[in-house]
Amino acid sequence: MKFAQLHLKAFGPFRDRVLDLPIDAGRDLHLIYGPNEAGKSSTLRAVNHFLFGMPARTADAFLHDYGELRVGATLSLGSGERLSVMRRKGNKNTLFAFDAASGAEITSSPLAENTLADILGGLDEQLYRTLFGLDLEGLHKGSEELLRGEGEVGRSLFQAAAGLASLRSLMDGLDKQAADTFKARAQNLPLNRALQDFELQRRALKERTVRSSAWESSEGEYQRALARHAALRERLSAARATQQRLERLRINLPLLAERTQVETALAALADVPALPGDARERRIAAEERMRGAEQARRAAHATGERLAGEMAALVVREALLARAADVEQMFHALAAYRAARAALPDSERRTDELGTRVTRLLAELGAPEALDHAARLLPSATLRAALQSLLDEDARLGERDMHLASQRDEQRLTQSRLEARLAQLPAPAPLALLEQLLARMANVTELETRRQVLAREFGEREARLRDELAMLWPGSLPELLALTVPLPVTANGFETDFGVLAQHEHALAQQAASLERDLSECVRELEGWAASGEVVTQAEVSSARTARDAQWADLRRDWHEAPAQPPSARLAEQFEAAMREADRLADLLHADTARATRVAATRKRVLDMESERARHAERRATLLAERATLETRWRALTAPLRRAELSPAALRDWLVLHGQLLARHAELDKLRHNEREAAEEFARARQAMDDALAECALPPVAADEHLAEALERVRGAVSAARQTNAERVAIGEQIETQRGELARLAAQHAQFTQLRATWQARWHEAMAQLRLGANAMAAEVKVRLEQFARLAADLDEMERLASETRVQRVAVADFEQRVAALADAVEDAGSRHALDALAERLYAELGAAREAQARRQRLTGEIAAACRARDEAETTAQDARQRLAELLALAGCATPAELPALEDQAQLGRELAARLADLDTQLLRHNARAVTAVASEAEGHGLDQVTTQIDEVAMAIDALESEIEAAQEAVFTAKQTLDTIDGGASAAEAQQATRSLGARIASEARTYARLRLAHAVLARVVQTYRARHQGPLLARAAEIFRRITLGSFADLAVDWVEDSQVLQGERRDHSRVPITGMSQGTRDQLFLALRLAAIEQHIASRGPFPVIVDDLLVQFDDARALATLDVLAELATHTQVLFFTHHQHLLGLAEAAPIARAMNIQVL
Amino acid sequence: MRFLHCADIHLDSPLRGLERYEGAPVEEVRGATRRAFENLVQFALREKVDFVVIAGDLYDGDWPDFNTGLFFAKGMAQLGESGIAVYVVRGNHDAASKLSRALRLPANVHLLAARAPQTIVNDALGLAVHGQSFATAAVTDDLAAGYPQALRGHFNLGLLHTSMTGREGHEPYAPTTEQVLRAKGYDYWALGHVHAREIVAREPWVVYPGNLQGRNIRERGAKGCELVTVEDGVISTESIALDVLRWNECALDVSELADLDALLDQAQAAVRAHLVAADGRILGLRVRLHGTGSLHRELAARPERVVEQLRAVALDASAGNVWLEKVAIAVRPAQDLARLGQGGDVVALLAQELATLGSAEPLLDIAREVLKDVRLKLPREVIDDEGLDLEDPAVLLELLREAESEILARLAGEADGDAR
Repeated sequence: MKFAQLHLKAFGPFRDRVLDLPIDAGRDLHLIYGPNEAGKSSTLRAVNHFLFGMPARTADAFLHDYGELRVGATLSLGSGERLSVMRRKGNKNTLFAFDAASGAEITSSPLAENTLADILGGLDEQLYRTLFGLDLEGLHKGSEELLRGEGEVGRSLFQAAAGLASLRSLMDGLDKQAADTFKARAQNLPLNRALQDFELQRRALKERTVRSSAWESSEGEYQRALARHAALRERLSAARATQQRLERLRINLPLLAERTQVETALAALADVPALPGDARERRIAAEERMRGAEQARRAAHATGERLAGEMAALVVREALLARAADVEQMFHALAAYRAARAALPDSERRTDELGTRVTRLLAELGAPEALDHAARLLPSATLRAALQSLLDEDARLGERDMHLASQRDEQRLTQSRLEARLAQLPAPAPLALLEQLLARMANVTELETRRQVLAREFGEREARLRDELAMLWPGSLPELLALTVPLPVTANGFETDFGVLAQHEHALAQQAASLERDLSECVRELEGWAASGEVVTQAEVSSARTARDAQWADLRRDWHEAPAQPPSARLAEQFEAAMREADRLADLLHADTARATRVAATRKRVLDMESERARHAERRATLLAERATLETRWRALTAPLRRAELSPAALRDWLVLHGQLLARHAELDKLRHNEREAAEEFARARQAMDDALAECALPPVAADEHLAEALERVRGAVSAARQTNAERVAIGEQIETQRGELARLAAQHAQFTQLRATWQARWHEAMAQLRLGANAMAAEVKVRLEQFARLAADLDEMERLASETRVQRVAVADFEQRVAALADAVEDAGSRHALDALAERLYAELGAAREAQARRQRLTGEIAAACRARDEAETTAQDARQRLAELLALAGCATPAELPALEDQAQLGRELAARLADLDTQLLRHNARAVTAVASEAEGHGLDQVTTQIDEVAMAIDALESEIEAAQEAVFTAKQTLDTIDGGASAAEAQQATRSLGARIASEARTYARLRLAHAVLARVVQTYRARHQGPLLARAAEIFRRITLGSFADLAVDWVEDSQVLQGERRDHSRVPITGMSQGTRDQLFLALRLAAIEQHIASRGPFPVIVDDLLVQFDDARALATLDVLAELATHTQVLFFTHHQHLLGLAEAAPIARAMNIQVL
Repeated sequence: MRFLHCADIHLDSPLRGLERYEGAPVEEVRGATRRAFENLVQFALREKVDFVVIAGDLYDGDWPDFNTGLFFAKGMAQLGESGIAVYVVRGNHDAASKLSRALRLPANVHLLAARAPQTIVNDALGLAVHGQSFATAAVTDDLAAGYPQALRGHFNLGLLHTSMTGREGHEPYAPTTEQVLRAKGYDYWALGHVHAREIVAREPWVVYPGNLQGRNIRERGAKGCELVTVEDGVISTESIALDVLRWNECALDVSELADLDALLDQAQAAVRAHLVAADGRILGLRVRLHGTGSLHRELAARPERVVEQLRAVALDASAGNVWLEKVAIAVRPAQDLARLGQGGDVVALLAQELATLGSAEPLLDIAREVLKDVRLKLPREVIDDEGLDLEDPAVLLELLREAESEILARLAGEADGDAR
């Protein structure tokens, strides 16, 4: 697939911009140049967004709304056909066809969402970038990673092939995360901890589990304790029974003895008559009653006589008593009679007054008819009610009329106020525009923030770069950038050479020192021997002999030359001296041959050492010369760096710093570029914002105004517009409501008028009935009604007075007649003139008659009572005599005088019997069985013996009680133990906790397994990739590397370092440079070579896809940049390469080179 | 006449797969099987049923704590105080349990014999209960075949712990067929052993009530007993939910979801819906993410973080009434692995590795070796309960799939070492 055209319809700064990318075999390298502000970065993003969809948030919507964003392209597919696709922003249906010629969208034919994904072979954005993307940052990171991994072949290849910044950190990350989860011997890692917790919980579970056997054992223990307790209780109750029996005996024995005595006494009284126990009392009582009865009889008789006398003297008026009721009635009616008689004249006078008043009222009412008809004139109750109703209604209607009028006024006032407010409100604001503006301003603010952040970062980095530069280089940055620096390998070579030289010098110095030490040692040795006596060596002997022989030769020559002459004495003496010396020395030599040999050897060594010293001096001179040469070369190398003092090691550090500085400079360049882009983007967005402000009739952002303030201002405007619009709508609604309300009030008024007319008709009718004018006022009606009311009241009063007078007259007459009749009936002979006094007197006499009658009745009763008392006394005396006779019969004696002695004996017998019964009762109560049984039980027991036995049993009981207490305790303990097994859920909960921990272990173990397996699978894929591709990929990468480095490196080689195979560069002279020995630029180029080789491979296996390159060559020198472009042009014979740059320098370079023929240049 | 039919109480059997985390409703589900059993007893008392039948498996066979038996006996005694008789047969778990041998049950509990089929007649109710307990843990004979014919003039109830003709996930114990059961002429067959409710037949009634309380994610949905009513010879049955924690699975399709927030929103809505269905109970929820979409990469790269966020969402949406049992991520990558695998590049190679997983024996060997250290440390219970046998090719395959999803995600730039 290749791009034939790119349609930037609405994206970032573009509107309807078309980029032609002609597809031409061999010319598919497209250099897309965009100077600052032209939108190079936006174009790059547009390509990505076209292929893979637009993200939810994008910074490319500052000019166009989200919904308007469009990027389209015409694609040339492998089959030769062309496809024009437009992408919009959205979640679904984002792809549709468009007409490439006119640019018209065909929105009616949406394309399947996976149309482009299918064309891209299933790759998504990240994977596509991984395989087919190249940019400076990726290159640097890849290069750094090559350095860190020291060029390990498998990883380097995989990393380059996958476009990965760091395979190492990816794998290390997996490994570390796995190691942070679990290690076989660790303690505190999550999975280890979970496993320990699990084990602890399992132990806790075991401790809390109660097995059946444990329960059975506890239950058995409890049952046994219960049984023992029961047995002891049984023994205790037996002992207590014995104790009770003995206690019973102790009580029974004295009782039984007394019983025997009483029985004996009773037997002695067997012949005494059995008089009842109360015989004495009965006898004395009978004698007392006889005496009392006689006295009573006498008293009653005397009383009867006295009362009969009083009765005979008493007089009673029977006639008056017979009319007693009438006398009382007359007396009680007396007051009423007197009142009626007194009131009669007053009633008659008041009747006359009322008649006069009514006549006057009738005249006022205009009906001076006779009094008899006055009642007919009174208005009926219904008329009065109707009138009251009309009056009430009149009041209501009046009130309502006023209310309606006031409401109407009020509504009209409110309406006019609302209309005035509406007129005052500003015109409707363009809210939609303002809101769009606000959204746009928010975007611009973001852009401003981004620009500020970038500017700040740029400033900081630039300052840092300056500091670093000052430390590194005394000159300016451009000088440093133009500076040709030695390769690290050169520095390494010098370092090696200096090192070797220093080693040699050091070795020489050491050898010389050692030689000097040995030499002085030998000299000291020789001096020592010389001091300890003469030491003769073989050489000295030989030398003495040679001297002797020379003397001898001189002597002989002298003798031969002059045989006649005697030898010269001097010669002879010299010869003799020499001969003696030689002999002496020979003797000495013979005497101390060992010392002599050592001295000789030492001297020989001294000589050898001296010659060695001379050789050292020569070697030192050579080394000095070498150092001078090396230092001259070194100074020549370091002179351009203006750092003459640098050592080779320092140079290497310097070079690393230099590399880093260059990298930082490149980053800074990129940052500057980004910052400028951001600034331009911001400027554009701000201009768009100013336009929008103008459109919204708002002042543009002033030069001294902060964007945030402006944003706040617009927010204020939006808020004000919203409020105004809302208020306008609200007031409109209120006015409408007011209108409706007024209409409603008018309708109510019409209804009211009709009601008023109806009322008027009814009013007229009522007035006629009241004898008033039709339009009489309500007050008149009230007065008229009051007149009628007064008339009615007076008529009622007259009626009442007439009736009252009648009653009074009848009452007076009736009373007088009845009093006169009564006086005749009781034969009263008094005057009949004052009848009321007569009634009073008769009443008084009636009282006296009644008192006499009562007295007579009382006396009659008292006489009867006296007769009854006498009779009763006689009866009592008779009864007492009868009782005495009975007692005498019982005792069998003739006179009462014999009775007391017999009574005493009988009493003694009764007391003994009672005692016997009492004893039997006691025995029965104590023993609850027959007395005979008790007696037989006691038989044979003595009191002392029983007391002793009681003490013994008490002691036995005490002992048993102690045992029972202990047994009770045992039962309690066993029960407590048993009760701890209560069906509780402790073990079950521990089990649940164990399972929860199990779940945690599983979760952690899965995480661990996933990480470890991911690591293992990745390692396996790395190895497989290497095994399959190492050869061809390295060969192709080496070729590209050679071309990019302009032949500085001839090949790539693989070598073993320790256990791993590593990549190395090979120079033309076959010397090898490890990754660590390469400059950063060279490493970048190596990584690029590997990437390009991998991309070629991807193209070969997946078919042509556009390779997207983003400003890759910024830090390459011109020659290497051209060489890289050449490689890219070669790649473009297989696929399309889109090379984005904002460096005009590169454009010029490319245009001037032969490669321009194989390249299309697009300027944005 | 009304009675309760329940089975497979498995008292004090633990809930499995519930990893504790901050905010999980630990207290609320404590002793869930006990509380479900208490619910049964209270329901029987409240409804004043005539009797209760239990068709086996009172306890877990290997559970030794005697307290469990005492707790069961207490519950039975409560029924006895209200005059409710209980008819019980032992199931395979009870036959294996030491508890059931040592425990004395109250007089109202009638445990049917294991040697031969037994019939207990209750003349007051006109009831004949036929049944036979398991004598050993694994009974493979057709016990029902030996049951007596129906007793005339009585309501005949057959009590049987059986797998019938076989039920998935259950041992084939005391197998029998509908024909055998029908031939006995009983009115109601109260079955046990299968943990899912099932009305096998209606003429006569052959019913599995399911267990009282689900104990793991496989035992989903409402759990409880049957309330059986017999009126004028007509039988009707109603399922009564007694469970304390309700297990359920919530499947979310991520295909159309734009990002993690959208997933969390959907999860929140789903949690709320499940809570309503659980009728106020605590929910043991498994969230299963499936489908194919762009979210796969984030899920694969940061599964632990996704789990944490889903837990937080569940906590928030349910006021702490949901226990997220597991988040099963079965989301496939948006990429077509088969298409990616065409070619010789790195991505293709990885895709090819993925494609050969099923038959990649060497890879399984590597996996076994790599996981040896952790495998040796895993307790047996965890391996059994959680299905984490690291020797099992199926388990290793699943883990390898997860691992490779993670690699794909990381290769494309997600989650560089910040997954935890």
